[in-house]
Amino acid sequence: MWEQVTLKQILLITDGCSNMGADPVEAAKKAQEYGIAVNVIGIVDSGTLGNKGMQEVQKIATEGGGMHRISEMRQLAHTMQMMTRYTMQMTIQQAVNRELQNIVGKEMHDLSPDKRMEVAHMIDRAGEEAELRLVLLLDVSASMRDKLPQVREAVHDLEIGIQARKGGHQVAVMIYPDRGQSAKILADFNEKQRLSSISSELAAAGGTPTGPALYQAIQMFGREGEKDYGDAKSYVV
Amino acid sequence: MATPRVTWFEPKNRLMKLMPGQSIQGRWNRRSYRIIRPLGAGAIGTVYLVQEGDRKYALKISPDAQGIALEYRVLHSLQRQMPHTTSEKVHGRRLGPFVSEMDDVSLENRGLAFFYTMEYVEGTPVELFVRGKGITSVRRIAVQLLEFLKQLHVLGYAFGDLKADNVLINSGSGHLRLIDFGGLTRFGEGVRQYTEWNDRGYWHNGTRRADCRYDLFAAAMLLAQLLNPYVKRLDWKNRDLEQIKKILSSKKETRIWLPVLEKAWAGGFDSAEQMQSAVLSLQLPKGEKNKTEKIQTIRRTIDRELSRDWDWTHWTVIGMMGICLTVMLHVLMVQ
Repeated sequence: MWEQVTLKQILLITDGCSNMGADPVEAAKKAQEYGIAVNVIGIVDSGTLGNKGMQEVQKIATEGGGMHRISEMRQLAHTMQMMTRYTMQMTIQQAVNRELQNIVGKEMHDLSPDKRMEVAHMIDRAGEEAELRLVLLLDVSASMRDKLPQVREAVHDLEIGIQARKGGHQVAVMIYPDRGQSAKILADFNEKQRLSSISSELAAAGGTPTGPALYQAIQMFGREGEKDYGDAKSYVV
Repeated sequence: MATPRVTWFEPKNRLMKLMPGQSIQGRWNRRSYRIIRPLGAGAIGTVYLVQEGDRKYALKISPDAQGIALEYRVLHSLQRQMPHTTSEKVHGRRLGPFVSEMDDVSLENRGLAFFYTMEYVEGTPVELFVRGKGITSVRRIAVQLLEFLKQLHVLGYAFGDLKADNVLINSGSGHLRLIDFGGLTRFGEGVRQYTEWNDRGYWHNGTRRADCRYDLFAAAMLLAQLLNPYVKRLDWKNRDLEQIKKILSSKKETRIWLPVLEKAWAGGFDSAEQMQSAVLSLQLPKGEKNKTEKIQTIRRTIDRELSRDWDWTHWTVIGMMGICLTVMLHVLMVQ
């Protein structure tokens, strides 16, 4: 039954603070309303992230119902992979908790160790078998440019991890900033990815419109996103 | 609704700091454990040596209910399945640490923490062990490691996160044990925890889907590291196994391992058993090292005998020696 459940995630990778357009924290909140979890990785190598940037990274993830991590470039691949995996489990766990609340007025924490063990097992299975739709949103502003080969490698690595799952997956890749619009689609869902072109893209000068880019990423999921897990019923076992 | 806390992404959460002497009592089973000292931190939690009455356990604790429950479940099911396999009876050693119970505790200011207790496995990290004993000890380690993988694979699981930190050797007996089963993955599913150095996917040598070859690749990387720790220090970020081959082929003792390692890297072994017999048939060079090894073995045996509780065998040996001495003295006196 878990094959019919689709988990939606946006993974934002940035090394700076937003400075243009809409508030990214508001955008993340919106995403969460649509049942999309927003994960954020803040890259610290060049040191442009700063305190303000770190706080923003954290806020976006908190409001987006996802996770955040400050990472060095060399850990990026592993971080992306683990984050995606844990967030899938977390999303399912939240839905299961909601159902448990509805049915028995308890959360997973209130179950006896024996029962909890079985619920944990079910969540694990679900994370493995559910369908994953993921939008990778990459900041390619000036300071990120020389890290792009490594980003490409990390994206490739993430794919290896996602492909190993039993459940289906669709990955889209977006970069920002872009001329005219805030973000540009490099590869849509189902499209063979043009990862090589990540590095050849030249970013428009200046700003980091993280907020508008996030809104665009939300649009990628189309209208089927609709409100917060309308399909939570499908979790009932 | 409380958001489930996941530990992996917040290192400060991962270290559920408990003080030696502190006691924690489970909310469900009411059993109480006194913390002795920390043993280490895994991907999902911190492990402490604890005491309950006069029994010692290792206790893994984390704010991640899901992670703890899953790990406990899988160790528990391994435990139930193990007695049916014959090799367990032959070797009398367990595949995973024997798990005792799972519970949770409410910690001041930090909310609920989830834990399970297991048998305390004593041992030296394998890399340190080999550094002390020399690389002639690698073969025995490889054989034991593959024996474990063989048994695990029969049950349909890959170990997943096979790396030097997760392999302990008992310095007295030389027996090998695996710890941290958080990466254990059913065949056919995505490996749940891995380390880049040991990960087949990272080296562009295959998928990250669990099968027996995934573990054998990781084992080969581990062996390469044991044979020459330098391989891990060179710049391996360009993911090129050729560099490692080059280093290992520069010395005779390590060169002979290459065919086995290369075959495992290429996914050429169909089972841990195959790789094990390949390791057993290696013609390791005989030299002075072997002699010192023998002397060490004898010395170890004597040490072990002496440290054991004394029983009738010791007295028999001493008695015999006494008789011999008397006879010799007698003969000398007569002459």
